[in-house]
Amino acid sequence: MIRICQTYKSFGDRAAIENVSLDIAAGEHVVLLGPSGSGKTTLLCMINGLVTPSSGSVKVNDTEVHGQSQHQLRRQIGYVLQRNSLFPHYTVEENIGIVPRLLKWDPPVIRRRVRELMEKLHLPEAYRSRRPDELSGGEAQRVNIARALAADPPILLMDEPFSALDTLTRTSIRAEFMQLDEFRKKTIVVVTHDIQEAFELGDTVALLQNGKLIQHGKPQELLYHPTNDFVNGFLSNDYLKLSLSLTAIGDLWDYLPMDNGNEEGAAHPVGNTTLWEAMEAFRGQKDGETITLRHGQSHEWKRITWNQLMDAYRLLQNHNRR
Amino acid sequence: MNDQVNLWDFVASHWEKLLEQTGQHIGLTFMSISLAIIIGVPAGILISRNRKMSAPVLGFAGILQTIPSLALLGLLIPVLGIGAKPAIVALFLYGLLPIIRNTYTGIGNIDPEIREAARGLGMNDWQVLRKVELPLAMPVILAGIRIATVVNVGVATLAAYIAAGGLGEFIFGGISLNNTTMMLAGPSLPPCWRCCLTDCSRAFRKSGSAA
Repeated sequence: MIRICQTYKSFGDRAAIENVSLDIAAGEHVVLLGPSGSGKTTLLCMINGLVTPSSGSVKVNDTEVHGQSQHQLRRQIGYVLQRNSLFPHYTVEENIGIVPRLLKWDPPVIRRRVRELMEKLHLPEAYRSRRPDELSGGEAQRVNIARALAADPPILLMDEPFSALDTLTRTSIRAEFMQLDEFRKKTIVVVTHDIQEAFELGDTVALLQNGKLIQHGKPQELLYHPTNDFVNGFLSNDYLKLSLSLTAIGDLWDYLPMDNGNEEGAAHPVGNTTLWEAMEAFRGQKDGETITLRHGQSHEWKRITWNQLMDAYRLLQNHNRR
Repeated sequence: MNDQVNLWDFVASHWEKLLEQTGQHIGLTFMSISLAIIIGVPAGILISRNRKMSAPVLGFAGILQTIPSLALLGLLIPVLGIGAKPAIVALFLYGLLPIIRNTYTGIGNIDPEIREAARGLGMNDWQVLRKVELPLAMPVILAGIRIATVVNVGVATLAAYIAAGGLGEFIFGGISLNNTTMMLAGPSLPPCWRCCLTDCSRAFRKSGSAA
């Protein structure tokens, strides 16, 4: 769907992007991760033509981005910016309807689409006629996302979409956003410097440093098989949390003791979840108490204690390292 | 108090002449400001696109502003003769700087993030200008036009010196005849319609922001 091939970009004599190649399949959610100044935003802007590479090629749907009529292309690509970038002189409804208006949709169709999106993003109907300066940060960012989704583009680019929000709002909007059906079926490229966010949003994560692509792979690959010390060091602070949230109960299943458990009297059934969520279920329990886990696919049940869970995790870790 | 009565008498007896001069005054100001908007706003947009040009263009308009108004009118007589033509040109040159500078500043002060959003969503250059930049810069541009208008209403009184008419005729007549009433009849009117113009542009600004 998106093919970035051996691109370079320099600003003055400083190279912002050096020999980056990246293939993004249709429906894939890719996160561009890296410290400030690593070139992730520059790379993102190459996809919608806001930045022209000094050399190399960027193709969207097998057509070269640079050279074709770029504003036509950009109307097919949703774009969510970092900070509050809503147009202050437009109402919420006008802001969301911008791209459909550029595409010359019929006004009633636009109105219906705007109403539908506002409902999906939990924006009250009454906000339609509000101006951006009358919205809170979280509400403004919902409008921002709705604006990008308005024309139902197959591709969505997001530049640190949640970074300006407080932690609580960020977590809730991110969770809501991932539930959206509009989100799941799209090809999405997200730029972030937040490692947790990257691992939560991305099918694959591309880690950049000083304009070079260091590693691109599934979150598990980056965490358990880092290609160099930079990847290792970049993730090491969050290693435990990341590892616990990446480990699905399904992965641990074979390491958990075959138990007698039956589902009757299950105090804490846990569905098809991660290890992190299973551990949360132990909160407030006394020593030796058990929770009951359910395997997502096979619907088997196992009743386990905290220690058994930790043992299983240790065994899996040993297995992963080998 | 005595003056006040005389002033009313004067206005009552000379109202036809006063009306004609007011018409000339408004005409001079209106023509020159219209020209200054037609040239100044595009010039401001142009230098906001090409920042290298901004220093010479603003510098040139600034130099025009520093030439004393009377001298500028005098300088134009050999070129354009006397009458309304040199007066309009001089007033136009005076109006340029505030209009160019405010257009430039107004567009330049727009958050770059908003401009990038406009381009990123697929607006072409013309749409970015018309739908985003001009509406957002409009209050600043209108403030520039207002300053230019206020300045020109004042300077237009000098046009009487080069036979372009306007309310200056009574002022200069009054000065040479040492007739205070006559002097007052002229300048008492410009402030009145300065206020009117200001209110008009405020109203326009409100309706403009809703578009």
